[in-house]
Amino acid sequence: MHEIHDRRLVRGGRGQTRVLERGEGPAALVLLHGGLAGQSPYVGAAELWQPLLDRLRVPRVLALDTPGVGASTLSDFGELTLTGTKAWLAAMLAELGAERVVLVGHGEAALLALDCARERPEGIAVDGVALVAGHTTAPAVAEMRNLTLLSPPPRWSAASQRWALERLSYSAAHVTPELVARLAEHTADEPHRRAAELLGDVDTALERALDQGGAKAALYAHSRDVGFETPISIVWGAHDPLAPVEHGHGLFEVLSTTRAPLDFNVVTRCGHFPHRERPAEAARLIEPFALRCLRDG
Amino acid sequence: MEEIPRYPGLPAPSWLDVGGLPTWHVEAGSGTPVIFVYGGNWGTAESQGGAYAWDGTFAALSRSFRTIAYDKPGQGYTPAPEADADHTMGYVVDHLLGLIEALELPPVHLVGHSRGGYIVTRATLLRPDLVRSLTIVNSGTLMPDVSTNEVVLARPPAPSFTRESARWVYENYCHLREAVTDEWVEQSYQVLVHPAHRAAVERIRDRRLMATVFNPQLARDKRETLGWLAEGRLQRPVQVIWSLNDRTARATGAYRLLETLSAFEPRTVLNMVDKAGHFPFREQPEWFYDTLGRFVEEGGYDHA
Repeated sequence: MHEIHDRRLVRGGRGQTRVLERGEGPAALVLLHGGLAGQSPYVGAAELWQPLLDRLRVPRVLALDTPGVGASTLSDFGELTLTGTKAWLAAMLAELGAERVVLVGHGEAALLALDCARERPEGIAVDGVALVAGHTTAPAVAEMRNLTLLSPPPRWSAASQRWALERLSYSAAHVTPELVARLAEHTADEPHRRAAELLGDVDTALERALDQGGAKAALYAHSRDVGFETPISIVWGAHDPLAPVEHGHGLFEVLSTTRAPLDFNVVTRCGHFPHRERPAEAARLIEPFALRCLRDG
Repeated sequence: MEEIPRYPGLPAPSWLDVGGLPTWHVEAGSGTPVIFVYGGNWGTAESQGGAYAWDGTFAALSRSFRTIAYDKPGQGYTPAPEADADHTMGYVVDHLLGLIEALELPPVHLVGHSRGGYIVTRATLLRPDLVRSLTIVNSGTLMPDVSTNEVVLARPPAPSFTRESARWVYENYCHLREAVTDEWVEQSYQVLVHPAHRAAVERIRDRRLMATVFNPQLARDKRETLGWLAEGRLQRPVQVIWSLNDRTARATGAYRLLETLSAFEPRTVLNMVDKAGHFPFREQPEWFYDTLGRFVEEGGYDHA
């Protein structure tokens, strides 16, 4: 595995956050990992961005562990809701001096990124949003249940990390033993154990699902009635087992009420992790988009 | 000697002998060659394409590449072939290959729009040794789906060979009507009323060359071309660029094309832009320059 860039713990909001960082300045690309802390079969964590982090030639790039992941503490369930996560993000960006950002959300974090662009919360000045395999944002209400991760090995084991990453990928070459070991370590971290404990409660898990569903409804209503004003770029794996290209195109059409630039890019021979499976391709798509957004503010 | 007609947005042109056909062409920059092939075909009286279509893209890419644009036979300022039997898309494809050889170019990046997307694909299938990569832009001619030009552009309300007819055609092709500038219309108009072009249009009409030669041969060759693609014969990196709001080459066609191409070629990508119709390089120019530029920057197929 590549060497991790400057890694540090930053105190902000109600706890501490682990940050991978390269470059400097007030304008930053902020990479938000996918997965839902304490629930997803694989632990989404900042180091999943490493292949992209190595390639992006932008003034500053930050990859954050969200609350409940890695060394990012989790105070209570509120920090796992969209509202709580946005408050955490605003506090972190203030601590890091990131005054203007392009948010890059993978998987579940695509919803967070779009929610920030919609609401424009204080402290998060969003110049652009890139969605990478944002399966939970795509219209899919009438779809059949997705069975990709139906029968996992025992949860939180190294085997389950490997199993989930491999099943979600078109090419599993990026699923190295080092990565699997690292994610397995994260499952034992206190923040993750806390998240898993909270979400082991059926009512709490339901509350989170309703929170995510509410954010999705707000996104669609906003697109229908108002339209976005933030540039958006969508990157989709042609073989994402969680959401076929048609879902991505559906999202593209939903968002096309925007008054700002919007594009949709299909990376072939690629599953749920374009930034890991085809990192050069993902960088080639995201970098010029981010540079245009940061230039135009 | 007669002065060579110019397009205001492109450098000074020169004539190049391509298989005996004097061919209008321009070049700029240095490095790996990138050749632009525009859309449309000969014999049209409402609007007419020319190398001018690429002016912004040509300038943007000439900073890093040797960019080459030319007028296809019977379009722009290049004359049509003399023989009736040469009024085929096959002739236009061979002419592109002849141009690459006449310029003695190393393997090139090909960029083709609309009918040009078909031309660059067919040229690559015939002579992969001449090609590093290809970019196919909104090509109804190449896609397996139904192309709806004849619906969208049926019976233009303005008289033929006028600025009004050219404007009407481009405004119906585009999603962003403001992209159809007076300059764009004027260049199309100047080609339309050029005596050599008018004479070629009249000849093609009088001899019914579209119905008897061009269309039947293209229909045969398209079937063969799609068959070749399905066999995996296209073995060069491909970028498919499309627009969400193209009414003549609809987005569904891009996905079917991508599926066919990516089954065999690992380096295949689709980039689709919102708020653009049939001319993404004129309607969303900055996005287009970035998207195309980054792709060709990767170098394509390595012939070394």
